[in-house]
Amino acid sequence: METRACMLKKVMEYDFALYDLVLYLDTHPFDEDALCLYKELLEEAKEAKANYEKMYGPLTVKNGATECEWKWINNPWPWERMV
Amino acid sequence: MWGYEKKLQYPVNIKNPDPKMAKFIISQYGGPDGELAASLRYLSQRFSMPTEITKATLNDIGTEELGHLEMVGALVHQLTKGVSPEVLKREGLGAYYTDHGISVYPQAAAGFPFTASVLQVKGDPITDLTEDLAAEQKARSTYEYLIDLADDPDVIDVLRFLREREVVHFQRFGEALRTVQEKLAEKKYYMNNMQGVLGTMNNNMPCGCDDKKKNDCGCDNKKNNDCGCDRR
Repeated sequence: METRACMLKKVMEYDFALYDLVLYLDTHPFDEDALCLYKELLEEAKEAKANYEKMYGPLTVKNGATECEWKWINNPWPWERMV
Repeated sequence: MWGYEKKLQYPVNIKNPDPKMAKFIISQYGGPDGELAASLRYLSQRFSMPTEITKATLNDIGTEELGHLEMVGALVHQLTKGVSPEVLKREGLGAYYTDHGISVYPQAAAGFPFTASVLQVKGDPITDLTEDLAAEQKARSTYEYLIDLADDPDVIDVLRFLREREVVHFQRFGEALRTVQEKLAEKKYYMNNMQGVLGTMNNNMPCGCDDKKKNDCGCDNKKNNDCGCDRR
C-alpha cells in the first residue's frame, strides 16, 4: 500500500502540472494541444485526489465533513513536516 | 474568492533545524523581493488590466505567489521548530525571538518589517507589466543568493523549485506584455479629448480618393472628403 506522503505527492504533481498549464493557457488560450493535455491531467488529478481523500481526509474544506465527523481540522497541516 | 487546498505546491520537509538559514530565508516571506510583495503587487495590479490575457495572468500568478508565501513560511517554521532560545540567541535570532518568538513574521533578512513601499501599482499596463518582469528577476536573484548561503540539500531543493517558478512567471509576463503592445499598435487611441470619437466617425466616411469601395483608404488624412493621398 502506498504511504500517505507518496499519495499526497502524486496529487501535488498533478496539481503542479495543471497550474503550470493554467499559466501557459492564460497567454496561449487557443493552443489545442495544451488544452487537451489540461483536460486529460484534470481527470487523472481528480482520481488521485479522491483516492487520497478516501484514505487520509479532506484536501478542501468542501469535503471537510465525512460521516459524523468534521475532519477538516485534523493534523497534519501542510506547513508541518511530514513524518 | 479563494479556496484553500490542504497541501503545499511543492513538498517542504526539513529534517535539520537551521535558525541562521531561517533568518536569511525569511526575506522571501516579507522582504523587498519576497512572495508577499509579489502576490500583493499582482493581485492589486489586476484591477486595472485591459485585456482578458493580462487579467488572467496577474490573477493566476498572484494566486500562485500566495502558495509560495506558504512554502517560504513552512521553510522558516521547520528550520526554527524546537530550537531553544539559547541556540536562537547564539545564531543571531535573539532580537527576532524577543519580538516574535518562533513564529513567522513578514520581515526582510535585515529585520525591517514588510512594507508595501517595495511594490508599485501604477494603473498603466505597460508600466505594471514591466515592473512585474523586473520583480521576477529580483526574486530569482534572491533565491540564487539564498542557494549560495544554504548547505542543506533539503533546503536547496525547495529554493531551486521557487527559483524556477520565477523564470516561468517572467516568461508569462513577457508574453502578456507583448499582447498589450500588439493591441496598442493595432490602432491609434486618443484619450482625454474628443479626437478619439471624431477619429472613429471619420474613419467610417469615404475619404474621396479612388479607393472608394473601402471606407478607409488607409491614409492619415481622413478629415477631408478629399484626402489628397497618392492613391487618387
